[in-house]
Amino acid sequence: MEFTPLTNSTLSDLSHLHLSVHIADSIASPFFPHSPQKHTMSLDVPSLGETFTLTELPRIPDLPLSARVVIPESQKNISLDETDTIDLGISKLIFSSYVLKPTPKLVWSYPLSPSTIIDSMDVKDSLYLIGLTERKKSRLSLVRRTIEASEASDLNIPASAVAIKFAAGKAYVLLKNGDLKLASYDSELGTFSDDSELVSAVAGSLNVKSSKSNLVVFYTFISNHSFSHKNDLLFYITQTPKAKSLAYNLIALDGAKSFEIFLISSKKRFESTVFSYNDGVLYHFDPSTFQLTSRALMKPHEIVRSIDLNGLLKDSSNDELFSLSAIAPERLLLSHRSLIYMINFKYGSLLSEHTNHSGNQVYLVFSLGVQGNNNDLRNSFALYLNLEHSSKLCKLKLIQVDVGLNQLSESLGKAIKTDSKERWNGLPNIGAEDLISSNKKHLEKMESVYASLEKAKLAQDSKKFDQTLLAFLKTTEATSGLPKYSHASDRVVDHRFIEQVLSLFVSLDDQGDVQFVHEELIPTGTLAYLLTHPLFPVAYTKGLLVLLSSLEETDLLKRAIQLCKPITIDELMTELINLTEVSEEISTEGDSQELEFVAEFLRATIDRLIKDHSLPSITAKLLEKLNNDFEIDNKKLERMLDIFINLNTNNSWTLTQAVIDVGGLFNWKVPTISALSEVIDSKIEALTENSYNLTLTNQAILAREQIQSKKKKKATQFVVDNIHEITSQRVQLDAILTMSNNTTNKKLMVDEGIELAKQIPSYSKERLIF
Amino acid sequence: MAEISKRWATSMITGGNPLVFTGPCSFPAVSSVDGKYSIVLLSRQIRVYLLQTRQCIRTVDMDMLKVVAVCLDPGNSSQLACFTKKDMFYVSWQENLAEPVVATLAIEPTIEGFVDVFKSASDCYYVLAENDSVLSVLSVDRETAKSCVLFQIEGAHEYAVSRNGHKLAVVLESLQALLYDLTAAVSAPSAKHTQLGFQDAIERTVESFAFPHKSVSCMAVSSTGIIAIGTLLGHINVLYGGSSTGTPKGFLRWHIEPVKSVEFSVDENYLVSGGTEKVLVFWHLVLDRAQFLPRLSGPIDRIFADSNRPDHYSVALRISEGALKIGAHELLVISGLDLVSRLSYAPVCPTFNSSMSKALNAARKRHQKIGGNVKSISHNITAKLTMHPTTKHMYTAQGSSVQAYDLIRGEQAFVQHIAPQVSTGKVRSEKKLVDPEVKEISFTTDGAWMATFDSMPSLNFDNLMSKNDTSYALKFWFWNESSWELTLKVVDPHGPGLEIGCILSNSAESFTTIDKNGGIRIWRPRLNNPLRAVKSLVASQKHSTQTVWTLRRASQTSTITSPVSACYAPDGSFLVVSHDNIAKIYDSAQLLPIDFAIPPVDLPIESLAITGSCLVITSQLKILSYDLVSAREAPLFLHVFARGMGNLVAVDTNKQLIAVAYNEWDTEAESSVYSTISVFSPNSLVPIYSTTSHKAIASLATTQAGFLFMNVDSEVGILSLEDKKKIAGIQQEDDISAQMNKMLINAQAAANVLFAKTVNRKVQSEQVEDSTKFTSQKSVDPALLLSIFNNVDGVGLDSLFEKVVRVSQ
Repeated sequence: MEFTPLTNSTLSDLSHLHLSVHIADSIASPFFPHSPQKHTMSLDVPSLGETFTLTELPRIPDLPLSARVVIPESQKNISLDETDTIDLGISKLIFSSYVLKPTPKLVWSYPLSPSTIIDSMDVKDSLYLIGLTERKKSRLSLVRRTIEASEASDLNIPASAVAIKFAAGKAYVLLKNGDLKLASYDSELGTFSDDSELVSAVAGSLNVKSSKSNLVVFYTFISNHSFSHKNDLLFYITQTPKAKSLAYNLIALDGAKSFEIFLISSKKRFESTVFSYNDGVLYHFDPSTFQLTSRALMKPHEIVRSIDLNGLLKDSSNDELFSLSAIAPERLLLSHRSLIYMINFKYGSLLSEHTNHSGNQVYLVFSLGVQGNNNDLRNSFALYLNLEHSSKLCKLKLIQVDVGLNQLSESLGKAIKTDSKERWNGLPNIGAEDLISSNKKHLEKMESVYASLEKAKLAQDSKKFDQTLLAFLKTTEATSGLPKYSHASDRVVDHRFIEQVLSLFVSLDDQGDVQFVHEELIPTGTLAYLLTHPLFPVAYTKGLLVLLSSLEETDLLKRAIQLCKPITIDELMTELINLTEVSEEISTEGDSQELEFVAEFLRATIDRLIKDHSLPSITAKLLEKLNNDFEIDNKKLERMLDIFINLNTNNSWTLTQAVIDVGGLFNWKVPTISALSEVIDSKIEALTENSYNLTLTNQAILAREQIQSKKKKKATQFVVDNIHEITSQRVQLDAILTMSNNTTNKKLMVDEGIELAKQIPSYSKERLIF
Repeated sequence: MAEISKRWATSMITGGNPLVFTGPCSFPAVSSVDGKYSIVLLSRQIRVYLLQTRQCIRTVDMDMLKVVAVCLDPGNSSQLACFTKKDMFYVSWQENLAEPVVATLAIEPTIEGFVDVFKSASDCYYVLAENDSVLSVLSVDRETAKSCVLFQIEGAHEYAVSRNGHKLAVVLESLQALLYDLTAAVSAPSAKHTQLGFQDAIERTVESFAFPHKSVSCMAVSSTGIIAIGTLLGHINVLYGGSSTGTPKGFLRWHIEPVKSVEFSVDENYLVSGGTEKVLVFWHLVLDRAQFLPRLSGPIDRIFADSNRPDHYSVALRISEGALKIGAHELLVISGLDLVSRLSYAPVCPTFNSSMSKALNAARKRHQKIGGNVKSISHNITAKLTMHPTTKHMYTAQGSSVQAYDLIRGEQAFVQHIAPQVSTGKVRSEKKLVDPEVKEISFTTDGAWMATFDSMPSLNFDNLMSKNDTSYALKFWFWNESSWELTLKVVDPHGPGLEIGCILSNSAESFTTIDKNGGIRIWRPRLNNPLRAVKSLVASQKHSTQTVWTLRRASQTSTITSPVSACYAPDGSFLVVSHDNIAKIYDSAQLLPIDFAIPPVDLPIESLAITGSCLVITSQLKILSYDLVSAREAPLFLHVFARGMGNLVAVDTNKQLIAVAYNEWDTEAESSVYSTISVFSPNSLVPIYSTTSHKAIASLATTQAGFLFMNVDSEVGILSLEDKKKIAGIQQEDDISAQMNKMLINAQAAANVLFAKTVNRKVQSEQVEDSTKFTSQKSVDPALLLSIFNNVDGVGLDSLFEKVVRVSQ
């Protein structure tokens, strides 16, 4: 895979390109952590990629989406590279194992009764530990996966287990009420021992807090952490059903010696329990205010930062189902209705979004946490449930996620939009006593000017429009002719003001070409002024030259060609091609006055092109513009060349190179070639003559100075047909020429000019510039 | 960022320039009586150097700007007597006192045109004053500070007093040189001064020589009455006064430029002279022989021989050759025996784009022309500062060399010559030689590498046509223990004629250069021989292999030449480059443009910086902060007006603060300037902090401690937060993870205690059944309890109780 022509314009296309790669790969495998396009990684943008259906879920309308699928705890610590199988617990159906490569496929399953709900699950080697609830009775089930019949061993537990995690010879069981227990099992046999019962994991706990009515609303096992503690941690949040207050619990897991690090109760009422944890930070989403907040794990009750998602979720109500998953540090997945958003928390930006069919309900089940700080650790995936409302069909889907690198470049311009009524800034002077009031004063002035401009627009009074604006922007008295921008005296305004003023009388059509809003309202003064203004928006330059020439606003057109700073090479080239055509038409009619008129514009366009753009880019642009029929293009170029020869200015000669480069060396008609060679010959002739004249003059001067006036005889004139000869003559000429001491200091000229001139060493070899 | 305290403080951290005395006898470096110490007088500081170690042993901060003359207190040599035009005060230089000024006396009646103190006796000081070309000799009583005129001459053009104060030589405007003997006056006790009558007595001692006054540039007189007069033409006239046999004359010829200073050595066997040739010339007055000290680093403005240190010469060298006003000096103390410098003090010497006096003149003219409320200064009075990221030295380019200034010690650290130049002084036609000029300095983030860019106009000795061609050189320097070592020089790094406008670095091993046509080039080091590099690493000799910086990536240039500036995103993910008035974003790895539009500004962008997600664009007319994430203008959007505005804006990326300085010409007080530095957050128009001063600010820079500013008198100060603990941002995050670790350790400790308790209890319960026994009543160890009270923030009372109960069980 190679992307060679990476220019500005192709960059936006790149994401498609990238996607198409994904699609191509996805046929073979849904997983492609290290696809071959690695060398273009730096140009990748974080995105939510392709989705695949893993399995279909049974239609169980009464079960909430959050309870339908359980992912084993062990899955969370497997990197994307190692993920080739995935285990799933599907309530009221099975728990099962899927191979993901090359295509998702069920390889093993263990059936459940249609009334059994899976609460939690963990897998270790071939042992499956499952927390089940069946008709309000909860138990733990230990199943050894075998090729043939799998046997299960059960252990009754007092409340349903919300989380299970294997440890050496034991398993941590977090009960629904917030108690952390240890269940011991025989790993050889894969069964619970006969007398096994749950023991409290946190030693010496008096269980003051654990009342039966408490409810674990969020938990996370924290392993591979960067804290200075050797064991894993368990963080969970319990909610009291009545007061709806939360208690944050952090426990260090160390078998029977596990101990509590903190238990913090928050008295605040918490309606929402949408939490997620990643890299020491707890994220919380509040659907009533649409605030996404972050808290340090150490102080989960204190908000560190919050971002406002109102712009994203504007028209949703707060009783809808939201799910949040922190997939990488500072990058979160948020699901809502049929949408999944990837949000960068650091910059408050929306990195990507994925849309399912509208009307569907999406719920995030799992996301594989990645570091997302280098190119090898940016790919991940997430699992979500997609419930089709119409058919009640629920599918478990996998979505590929490229979390990016958490860099500012990924978030450029992707902020979650918030409403802002600010149209422009008053631009107060830094020397002002009170910047705020000064800003306000300026704003009021601008508003009033804008209001009167709007009035003039309604009245279609161009003159009034010009007067109002120019009186405001140009502080000095208007001089004769069209007004021109001057940075020394003109008012300094916000670029958005200029843009708004322009948008009063010009607009952009579907192609992005600029058009006048009303044919009657063309405030020439304003336009003439703004064309010279450096803040003239680039967006309004597209098609501007065409528009001005079609309206026969010749003064404005000339001004735009010469002085409008943001005019692009594209526009100029279009204008050049148009002008050559016009010029061709006129020349057939034979109106010399008009021809001269057009030539003036041609010259201006050529000058501007040469001044602002390099020859290679002009050549490239010309080639791009001429992509039609070979015959037509050739004629166009021929015409252009003719016109350039006729114009005969320095810049037109420079541009001739571009035309010849585009046209090729051998595509020219004989008259054109002979016209070119004629010009060159005449130039060379003039050059030779001039150099002789110069030499003669110098000789004459020298001769006069010398007392011994011996007249040198020059060789007879001969035809110069050889470049080498010209060079040699020039060298001779250089040798004879007296160098002047080009100093501007008069004193030096008198005193030392001659002295210095005498110092010219014999080895000097210099260019002579004509 | 709400936690940032509003308590900011401004403090000056350099002492300023050495004082410039107009009088013939005072010099800004005073020797102590024993000759061991040098007391250097700066505009806002007194620095005491121990000559033996060349180290500054004491600094006294005080405003010295108005001081016109200084001498050691004849009564107490640990005090310095300083004279302003109105009063005199004593400063203790030897001891650290809370209040360095020991006493202040107002001179009565005030002396018009106070010039210098030429002699200090035990009871009074003898003072020279010049007012409307009337030269007066006065005495000022030590106790009462009563002044008294002793002698007056009219039409004095130039004058000198001998070291012992007994001879006064004057060149009059009436083509005469006069020599007076002041012995009668200076040897009389102070009480007799009020009795008039010295005038006649002194006038009687006069010796007269015919001498044209117009060419006189400096003069000196010896105690025996020899007058040495330096002239603008370069020769030195020696008039032997006090001789009974006519008026012998002598000429000393060597200088071809004006003689700037002449001084007799303390034993008066030698005359020392100096000028723009940068050479100290020692003339033996008897043997008629001259000795030359090899050229010094700057034109000599003053030579001074201190009688407390007879074999040393103090020299003031002008720092900037082109400076119009007297400007800044470097002070040197040179031993007369081995001609080696014993002390050197150089102030900060940046290159200002244009001098303040010029700017003020222009502002005044504009004001007269336009009138009204024109306050802005249209000249670019700014200078460029570059801070070294690790050593915190301040680098300023000065011609072809770079000065590194140690801000902590308040001294010049070293001067690094970047480009070769005619190292000697220039005379006559040599003046046409243009020196190479260092234009850009940049460091890698680890400070190990420096990149400089200099322009080198070709020498026009030969008057060739290529004389206007300038070649450019990009140089890479490696910090080798104590100095920069040139490792690579790239001539015309962006192609012939293309000038680099900006060098920046965002890592330890890359430099990005941007030319004025908008071309970007990235340079990275490559070890010349990787095998050798491995070996040398093993041998831990890092610089034994040569590192070569190679061009890694380049982008196209345009045909338009205009100012450029650039900055990297804080995470290095992209590069913002401005060319003329438009900024563009490039992918930093591939240098491909990213399709993201940044609003234009009116005039060429002078500086760019990113803080948080805000891009701060500074042009001559605007400061615009643009939020790159929301693609929207942030509230901080100001109208400014200053050429060189780029130097007057500093952005602190970590604290997300922007400091802006602006200078205004005070229309009320003609020649004064009013400057303000404001600190903003990009999200508000209200400054967090503002400070004003009466000196124009020439540069702002960001350091970890705060914002560094330099005014037009090259004094450097710092604007910093008083409460350093409250600095938010990254540090706070570090704090959280540190606190988390601490909490975990505490919790572990508490848990260990608990487990130990549980085990104990089990053991006890087995052994002693009877819990009522006295031995079962245990005292609670408060140290154990303490661990429970760690991290109780937000912990419910009941759970706390539970913990306490557990421990006490």
